Amino acid sequence: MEVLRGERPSDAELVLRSRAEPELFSTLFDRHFALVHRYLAARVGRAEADDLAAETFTIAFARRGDFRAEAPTARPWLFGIATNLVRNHQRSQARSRLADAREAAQAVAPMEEAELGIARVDATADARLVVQALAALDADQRDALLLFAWADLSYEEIARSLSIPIGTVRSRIARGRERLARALERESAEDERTKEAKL
Amino acid sequence: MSSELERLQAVVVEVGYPGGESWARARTALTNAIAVERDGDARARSARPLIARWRATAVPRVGRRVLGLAGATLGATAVVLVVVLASSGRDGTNVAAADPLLVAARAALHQPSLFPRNNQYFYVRTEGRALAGMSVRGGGSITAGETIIRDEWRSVERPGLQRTRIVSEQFSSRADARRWRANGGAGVGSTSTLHLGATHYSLVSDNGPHGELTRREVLELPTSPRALLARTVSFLPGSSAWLATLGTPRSQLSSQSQYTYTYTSSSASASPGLNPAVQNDRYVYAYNAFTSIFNDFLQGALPSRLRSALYGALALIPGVQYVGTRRDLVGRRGAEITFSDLEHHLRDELIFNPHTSSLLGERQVVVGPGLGFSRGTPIVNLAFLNEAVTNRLTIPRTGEVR
Repeated sequence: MEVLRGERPSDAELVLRSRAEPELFSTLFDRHFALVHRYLAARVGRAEADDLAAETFTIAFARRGDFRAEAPTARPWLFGIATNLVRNHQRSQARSRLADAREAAQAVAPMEEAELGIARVDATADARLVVQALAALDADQRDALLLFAWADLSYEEIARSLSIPIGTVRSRIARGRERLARALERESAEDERTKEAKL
Repeated sequence: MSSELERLQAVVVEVGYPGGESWARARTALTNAIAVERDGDARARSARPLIARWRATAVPRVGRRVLGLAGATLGATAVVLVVVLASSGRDGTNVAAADPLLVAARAALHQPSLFPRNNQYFYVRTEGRALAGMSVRGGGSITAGETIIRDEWRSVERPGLQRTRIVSEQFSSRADARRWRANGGAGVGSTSTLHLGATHYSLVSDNGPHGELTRREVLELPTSPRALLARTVSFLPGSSAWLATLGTPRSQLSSQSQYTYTYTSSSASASPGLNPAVQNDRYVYAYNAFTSIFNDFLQGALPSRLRSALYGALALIPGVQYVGTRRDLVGRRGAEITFSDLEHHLRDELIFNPHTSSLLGERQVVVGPGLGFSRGTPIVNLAFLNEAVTNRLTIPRTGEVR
């Protein structure tokens, strides 16, 4: 661990050096676990996030030989792995529900939220509207938009994270925001109508 | 900042940061992965050519759980569970052989029972290393080394579930990796789900006339080690009379050296002065007793007293050897006992924590020719990470016993 004395190596340096000194990878975990877990918790719920966050880092460790040091930070790489895990998780959850609706109803969140992959958020009515509105987006748009909004990645970092051109990131986020805004308007209007009807 | 983005970002703030438990569990998982790589790195490198040389050879005896893992994960492809931690040949340590098993037997009595009601689930998380084979278009085949994590929920009355994730993979070349992808091979992060019928996966099975035991039958099993061993082998062909001559577990395992079987083309023989046919009979008998207790019972849902009796019964089986403290697949230390499958040139290794009676890991290591692997190569390498009784198809947050 000599490398850590008196200096703060970049993520890229840590990953590269961890190929010969595996223990160094722990430092990467300490730097980024909280952010990765927060992102995953928002997408799949805290219970599943625990497993997926742990898996994100064990996968990253196993595949550190494939890491390309294009930038000092490893966040795009880690969030890319996490996003893939979210997608796989959603697919398996959806299959599970289709095959056994009764058990699924006991085990996890309702169909709409599960397909969307967004954690159940009960804190505010607005949060629920946002979650519902996100369901209107394509999965690709949602991944790009949520990496931007929830993981705080730049367009360039999202492009690296999802292995797509930066132009595609721009268009996905732009379209995603448009659709989200429209969906939020619709959801808000519907919510208002529901409240008025109750009165 | 536009309105929709502000509202979107407000959602994630409400989720908050992970608690200490999440962090600790994830950190432990990573630390284990690092330890496994560090300890097995040199041996893993030497094992790589083995993957390239791999040929689809049927493995003669693989535990039920192992077969399930392989079958579910890889569908119709040929699968053999594997391996990278190599072990060298080692001699059994006779003198203290009984101690870890007897310590575990005592510890089991103080552990909570993991024996669900018929409407509950028996949950197990397993990590295993496996070789997965695939036939490719245009002929030929590719073999991948995969590390798999499996969550499994089994219940007597309710539909169960197996969820398997591939967490790492290894190919003998980049070209193989590309061909694997091109032919639709599953990659890291992919998850497969298998739905288990309630009636097809009982919690405990044995090789007796009933095959799968009901809850009542399990509860009626003897909890004396000797009686349990006698009951376990009573369905096997051959004579069990010689079992009556066995001593206490401690004295039995202390004299294991007299039961160092060897195997010839048609029979096992070794102990000086014993007829080879008798010796062969005893070997088969003892080996079947070992595998029955280990694979059929000890990996299942068990009341505490029965788990205790099983450890005691293992200590009675001639040929079981204690080899000392070893690490399992994920780096946990435990006591290791072995029994050599002479017929198929494999050595079964069982790693357990004697202080909690928890089963930690299982390996089958090649000790002879015929399987296509060099000696010392594990072809089964599993770690049992967690067991619990649950009411629903959820990963338990508490109640971990390992």
